Amino acid sequence: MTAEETTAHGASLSIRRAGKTFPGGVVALAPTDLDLPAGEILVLLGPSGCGKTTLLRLVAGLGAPDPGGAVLFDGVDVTTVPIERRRVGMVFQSYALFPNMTVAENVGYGLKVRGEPKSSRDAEVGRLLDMVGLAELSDRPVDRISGGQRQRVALARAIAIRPKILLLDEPLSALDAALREKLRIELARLLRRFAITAIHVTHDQAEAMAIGDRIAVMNQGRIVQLGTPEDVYVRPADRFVAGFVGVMNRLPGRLLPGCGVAEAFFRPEAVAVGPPEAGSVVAMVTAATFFGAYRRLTLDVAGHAVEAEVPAERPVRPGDAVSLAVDPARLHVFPT
Amino acid sequence: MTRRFEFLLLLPAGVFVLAFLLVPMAALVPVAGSGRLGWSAYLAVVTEPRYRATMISTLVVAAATTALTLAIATVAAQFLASRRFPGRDLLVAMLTFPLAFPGVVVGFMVILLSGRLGLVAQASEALFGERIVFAYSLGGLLVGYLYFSIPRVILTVMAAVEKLDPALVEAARSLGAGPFRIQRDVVLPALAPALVAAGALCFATAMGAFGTAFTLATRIDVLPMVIYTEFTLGGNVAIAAALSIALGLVTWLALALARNATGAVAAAG
Repeated sequence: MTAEETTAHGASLSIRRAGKTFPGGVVALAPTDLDLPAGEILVLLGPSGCGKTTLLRLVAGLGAPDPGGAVLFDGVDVTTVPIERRRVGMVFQSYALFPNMTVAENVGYGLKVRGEPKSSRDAEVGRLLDMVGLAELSDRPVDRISGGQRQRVALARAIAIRPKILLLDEPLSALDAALREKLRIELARLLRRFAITAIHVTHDQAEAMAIGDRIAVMNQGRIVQLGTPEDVYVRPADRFVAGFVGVMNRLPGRLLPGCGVAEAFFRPEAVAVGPPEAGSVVAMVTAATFFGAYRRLTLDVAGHAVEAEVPAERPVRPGDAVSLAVDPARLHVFPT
Repeated sequence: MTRRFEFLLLLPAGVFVLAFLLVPMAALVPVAGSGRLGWSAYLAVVTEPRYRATMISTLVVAAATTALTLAIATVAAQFLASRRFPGRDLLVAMLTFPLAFPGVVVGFMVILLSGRLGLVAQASEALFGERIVFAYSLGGLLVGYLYFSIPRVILTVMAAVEKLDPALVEAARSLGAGPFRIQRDVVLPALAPALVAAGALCFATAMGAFGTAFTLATRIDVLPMVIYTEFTLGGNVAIAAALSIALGLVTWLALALARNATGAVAAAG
């Protein structure tokens, strides 16, 4: 890598009280504040309709925030700057490659529009195609390359204009599961190599963990938790985050002092499974699946299903009775 | 079993092609050679100045109709497909209205618009003291053809615009392309197959349309009119047959050339 490639480029992003209400009064995004330092990769994670794509489009300039909201790049208000002049790189779920152009023509299109001379354009396109590992496909029409290759062409095309911010709208969800997993790692590596400020939208929590420096978990038009992947996984802010990110057990119960109803959340790896003993919580194993490194058990605890993980060498079988304890430090209780 | 079933599926199309296309066309070929001129009737289409001029003016009117229709319909279809405004649904429904009109009715409407007592004539007399009348010329014919071809082309192109991935335009915008550049580089190439198909239909219809010309025109020489006069008035069946086959061949050739040219353009990008 040359020095230029490793230098962080891209702008810092600030979003101030930006909300979006659609005609008809549907609030897609409540007024939101967000700060992203230059070079950071933020993942917007949430179910469909949570407002993550709406927020991405506000940053892109494909939609204007409700009055009072503002989008700033490097401290400069770009709220009224149209997308054509905002210098944002976009990667779409459908990739949106131009079907009438080759791989190289797609990647070079933004530079061509900007009137860059052909020689420097060709050099830059060659450099980018090298970086994404598609140099030998440069003259192919884009309908004759694979889904994973298309995704990389879309990424190279977006990067070519040296955008201030790179915006990725579910760029992996059009792929099948096995390829998605492989490309998630690939994409995370490329984004770090480009060292660019990026916002990546997804509904896949494993993808969010792999790609984001930080994750903003969104629900019903709001950011409900903003933190590192570890924060979000280990210290979920509320019931929604606890249920949405990773595998989570939930057991209903009562809060002792006020006798309020609450739910306890804990991860399979926080469950300690031992031989049945008097005085402990006893459960029945209803299913045991071997995963190589560990064994995933489904336990029946007084009519509630609980997932637990035990070392693979422990010979636990369906029908066995076991005792079960949950590490209190890894137990999250949220009132219902 | 499946092969036999496939053959059964082919049967209706086969019968149709044989009975309505191949047999009458094959019958037409010798008829053209049966007249006073013999087989040179075919040559007359090219050598006889009147027929040649007619063929050329027919081609010009059809080509102009196609070009104008595509230009107007492409703009209108994109507007109608992407915008929501009050009355839009009514407007789109009204577009299908002229589809059912026979050429005679279209011709009548052209006369109402631009005939001796038409709207244009009255307006121009009031404004400039001069009556502008173009209903009975090739200009009137062009207006009539536009009237019935624009709606059907708009509907075809609208369907294609609605299938266009909106992310394509958004991607081009994010790369800095302005609206005209996006039309040229992204939208028109994506619409090309629909434009070629709709344009081909428009051109072929304009080549063969008869009712409008018949209503407007004593002085309009387009090929279908000449075929009609040779056949019914002149009793010149052989020339009528030769002209018919020439009309079919020339239309087919023009469409094949257009399809090839646009295919090459699309491939070259």
